[in-house]
Amino acid sequence: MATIGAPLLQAKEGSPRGPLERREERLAWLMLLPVILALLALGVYPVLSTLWFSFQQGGSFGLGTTSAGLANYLRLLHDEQFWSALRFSLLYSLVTVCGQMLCGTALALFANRRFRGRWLARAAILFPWAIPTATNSVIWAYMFNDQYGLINSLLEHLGLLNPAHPIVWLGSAQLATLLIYVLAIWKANSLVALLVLAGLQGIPEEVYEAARVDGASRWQLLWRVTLPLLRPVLLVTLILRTIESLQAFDLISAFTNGGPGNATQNLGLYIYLQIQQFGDFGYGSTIAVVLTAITLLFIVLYMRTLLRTGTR
Amino acid sequence: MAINEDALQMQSVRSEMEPAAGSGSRLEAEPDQVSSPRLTRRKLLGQGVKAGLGVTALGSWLAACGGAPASTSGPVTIQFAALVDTTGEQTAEIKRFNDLHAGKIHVDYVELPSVATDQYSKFVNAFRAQSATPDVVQIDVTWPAQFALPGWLAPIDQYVSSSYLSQFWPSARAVGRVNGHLYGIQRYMDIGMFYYRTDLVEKYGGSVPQTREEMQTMAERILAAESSQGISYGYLMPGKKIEAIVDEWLEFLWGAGGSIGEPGKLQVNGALQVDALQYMHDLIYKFRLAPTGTSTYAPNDILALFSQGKAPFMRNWVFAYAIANTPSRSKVAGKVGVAPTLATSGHSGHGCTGGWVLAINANSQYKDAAWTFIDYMLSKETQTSMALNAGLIPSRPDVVSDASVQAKVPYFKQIGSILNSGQNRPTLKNYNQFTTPLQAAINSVLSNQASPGEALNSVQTQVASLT
Repeated sequence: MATIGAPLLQAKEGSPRGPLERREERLAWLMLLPVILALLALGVYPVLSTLWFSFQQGGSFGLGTTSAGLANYLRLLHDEQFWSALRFSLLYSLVTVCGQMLCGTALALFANRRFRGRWLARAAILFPWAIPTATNSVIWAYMFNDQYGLINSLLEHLGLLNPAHPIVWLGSAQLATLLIYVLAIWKANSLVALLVLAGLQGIPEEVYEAARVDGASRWQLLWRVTLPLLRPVLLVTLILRTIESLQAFDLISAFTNGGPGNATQNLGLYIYLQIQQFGDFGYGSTIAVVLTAITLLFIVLYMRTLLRTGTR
Repeated sequence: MAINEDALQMQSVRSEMEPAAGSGSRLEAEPDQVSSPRLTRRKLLGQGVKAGLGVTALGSWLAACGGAPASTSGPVTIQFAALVDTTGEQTAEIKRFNDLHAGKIHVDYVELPSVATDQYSKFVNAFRAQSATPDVVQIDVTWPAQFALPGWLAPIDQYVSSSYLSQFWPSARAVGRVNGHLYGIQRYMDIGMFYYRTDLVEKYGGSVPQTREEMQTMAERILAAESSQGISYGYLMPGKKIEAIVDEWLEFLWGAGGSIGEPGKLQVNGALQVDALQYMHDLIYKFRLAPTGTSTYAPNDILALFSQGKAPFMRNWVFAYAIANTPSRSKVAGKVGVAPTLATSGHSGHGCTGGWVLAINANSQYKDAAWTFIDYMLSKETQTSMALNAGLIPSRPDVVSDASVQAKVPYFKQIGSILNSGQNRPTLKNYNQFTTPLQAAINSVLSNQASPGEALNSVQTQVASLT
């Protein structure tokens, strides 16, 4: 909203404001009012409410809480589960976002080439993104079931696995974590590919022709022309993927539910546990505030990078 | 109508916010919203919940909204909220009640989602909003204390005598007791049982194993001799991070003469507690009777293995019985028996109970009518119909032991003693705070990530003071 309003206001600066303009401005505000109210009710109020709850304790499901001061924040310091969930969330973001960006960009570069059946390849790329996340997770959980899963029986048929000793994929912390990474990358690299593909099609052919005339090799075209011109698209995609990966919930919840033990519990699951299962609005909100702060931090970092490249 | 009410409510919320937005002093207005969010939220929530629970009757709607005195001349309409009716039996029972009390009491059946956590959220939202409906609620056996302690349920002490209560299984009459008051009585039962293959037990000794040792000995013999017949495992149990593994652990503990103590001083890390978990671990990794994938199995998964004839023994809930004995779904149909869960020698097994409890909303305006309905649902006649037509297990021994019922449901002959010795899980203000850390701890042991001692020690600090 601010970005849309800014040029409007800038245009007005300098010119004296007559009664007509003031009336128009009033009308503009009036017409924006429903949106502003909706934003306040759906955006600002829940955020402030969460912030307020993070300084409350006791009660049940948000009723009958009392002021806690900083107690919830101090509790975080000694909460092992919080730290392991935070570690998992950050590592998950790092690995999956990197994986998605690399695979997605590679896919987009591939789909951007001219070849027969290109439309089919492009449609196929979008397939994982088109299936609801929870459905994906449930399907994967079946695929990796040790008794009747597709993967183990495939390995058995290939003679790589003794049926008497099946691999218990989701019963091992390391394997379960690895599979979550793979699932998350497989799931979202198609979105990255779509966005990057759109960016690729915005690069004019003349730029490549000019570079070729200058004798650039294919690698040089990629590194010196394509990727620098894609930078804005890549950064926006990076921001989107980072936010979503930090807030991940449905994928892990339906796949491992944080198990085995608490090995794959991220901050999203831990917040859900505290608020929905335990009814502890205070502590759950505190973790939510921390997660929001971390997300904002990443956004600010990215935005600064983005703006710097924009002015260069 | 509900939608219009919501729109009105939204308008009143808006008008509270409008001056702030219009005057440009939004930031000053926001702390106000923060300091009194409960009123607004509760109001909003109340309307939403009433709409969500599907208020159809005008009378109860008005009564809930404005506190207008309810008319006493016409029939009283009460709402009964319970999980969705899959067999049609529940609807039929309610229809019979309505015919029986025509002109006096009318029951509206509000069907809730079949997933327990969804029902839980609906109930919590309705109770938080102080809604007068639903009047009668059917709640999970772990919820009475959670709902009674905040004052959301009405005590039913005045309606029941001790002789009335003695008509029910011990666990069914105890499950609704919170701080000395009774808040509900169980309607139908679920319980953990020891499933066995009748043919294999007969072939390898004849008597059904009652202790861990007897089960182990027989399972090892069967596994050694019958592997060519498809037997791959000795004993199946759920091991996934879900409620069932806590119940399984409790059964091993109770079967060894142990207990976890009373709320306020719960103990989960004593010698017997650790031993019970160690035994579950050993079944997988030491005796190698349970599959290595146990830590990923839900009750459905092990039932599938059992029904394929892959194991002689299994711990599962009641639902497994019908499926394991259905020829189209099971290779072992007709060869499945049930017994109490395993004990150690000198002790007896106690199955962990589950099921659903009938209770009255504390804000209901028609508590007497609500009780009349509950009394009807708990009567021998209604419970007999429930057992025969919906396949559920009555909370009344006289129905389970009734010869004419047993003639139609033969396995009722076997489950009488199992039900009589059933034990309840602890009655806690927030049962989730007890079970969730335990689920993670037990699952981490069954997936070989932690030792039983250290896993349970870490839980002890979290659950010791739960009330």
